[in-house]
Amino acid sequence: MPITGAPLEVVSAPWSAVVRAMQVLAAVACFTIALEQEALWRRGLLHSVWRADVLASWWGWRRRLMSSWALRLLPWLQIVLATTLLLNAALPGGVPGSSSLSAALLAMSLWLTALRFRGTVNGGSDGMLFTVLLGLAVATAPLVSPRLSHGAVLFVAAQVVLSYFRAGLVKARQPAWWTGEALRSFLAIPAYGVPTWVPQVPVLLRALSVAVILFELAAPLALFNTTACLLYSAAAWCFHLATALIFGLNRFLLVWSAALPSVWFAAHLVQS
Amino acid sequence: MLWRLLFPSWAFFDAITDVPRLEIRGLTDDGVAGPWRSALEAPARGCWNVVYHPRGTAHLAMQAVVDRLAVEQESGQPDDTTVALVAAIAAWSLAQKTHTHSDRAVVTHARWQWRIVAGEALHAHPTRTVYESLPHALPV
Repeated sequence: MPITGAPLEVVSAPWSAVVRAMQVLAAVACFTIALEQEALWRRGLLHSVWRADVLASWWGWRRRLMSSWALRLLPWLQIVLATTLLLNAALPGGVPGSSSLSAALLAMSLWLTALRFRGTVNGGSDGMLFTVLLGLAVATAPLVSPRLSHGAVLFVAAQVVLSYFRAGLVKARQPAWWTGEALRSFLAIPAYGVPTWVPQVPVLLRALSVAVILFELAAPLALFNTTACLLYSAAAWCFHLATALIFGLNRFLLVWSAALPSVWFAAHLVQS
Repeated sequence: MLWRLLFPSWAFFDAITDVPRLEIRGLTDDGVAGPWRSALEAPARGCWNVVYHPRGTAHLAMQAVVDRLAVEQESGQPDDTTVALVAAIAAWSLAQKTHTHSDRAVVTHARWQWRIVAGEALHAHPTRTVYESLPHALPV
């Protein structure tokens, strides 16, 4: 299906590429997350931990929907929708609006999952994926003005930049982050199961901590130059790969991969 | 919930706080208690798990519930649903240990209980108990 919007010649080329990249990567993220969800349900965690009888009072009027057998099919619905999103991005032509509808339904399924689990399953990564999917739903909707479709992707870009900048800011305010002590503590949290090959040398941890703070605080700079944006995006991807390897935060790698192209569009717009 | 999804706090890994830990132990009928054991252990990871890691995601989701209970208890805003969820996690962990016979110190007892302790991540021993459940009969 053709990507809508982009009346300005200066942004039309990156617009199309950015939206397609976001669609492909968001589809991959949703597909993987749905498979994880299905595995989680197959292990019986919904019947032993997040049980309907435990959560019924919290669900309130949504109780019947949340405990219905239909919700058990949610991961499979997500797989179908993610495949549709992927096919729409990869193949030209198609049913108008199906891309937008797939993204919107995937966002709704994330919201239902968060309700089912009484909170996000994987913290901020669920929030970012929701933002990406909503952005794509608006950006690829038929009959939407270019201003609105561009605004939707720019909203995703703003959230990406904010996610790094705010994380950097809260770290910069903590003296323990500048000394490397905070990183040492986070690496020692048993829940993350940090592998034994991760070096714990104080000098290295201090250098890494400072590097992380500066990297995160530098996020807004990626908006002002396309070369800087490319370099920042590459660094960001390596950063998420490292957190996936070290802390086991695999969903953050998938989701931020899908969100980062939006910053490229924003940088292109600012530079032009 | 919708608001939290759309506008997360983005304050990742900010301040060092005490780390809550879920523990379980067995008790005999006459009240003699076995040692406390960690209920949640992070699953091992391979290269492929950089992309797909359902066990890791489930583990982090359960730890997030434990963290939530610790915050609620220590801020004086206890929530029965969170307590029930953590009790279910502890029971699930006990069932896993029973199934795999990985911890006979717990499963050979007649009753069991769970607690949440907190302490610095860098120190093995917790400094305080945040919540301790009443003893329950072991499921048959």
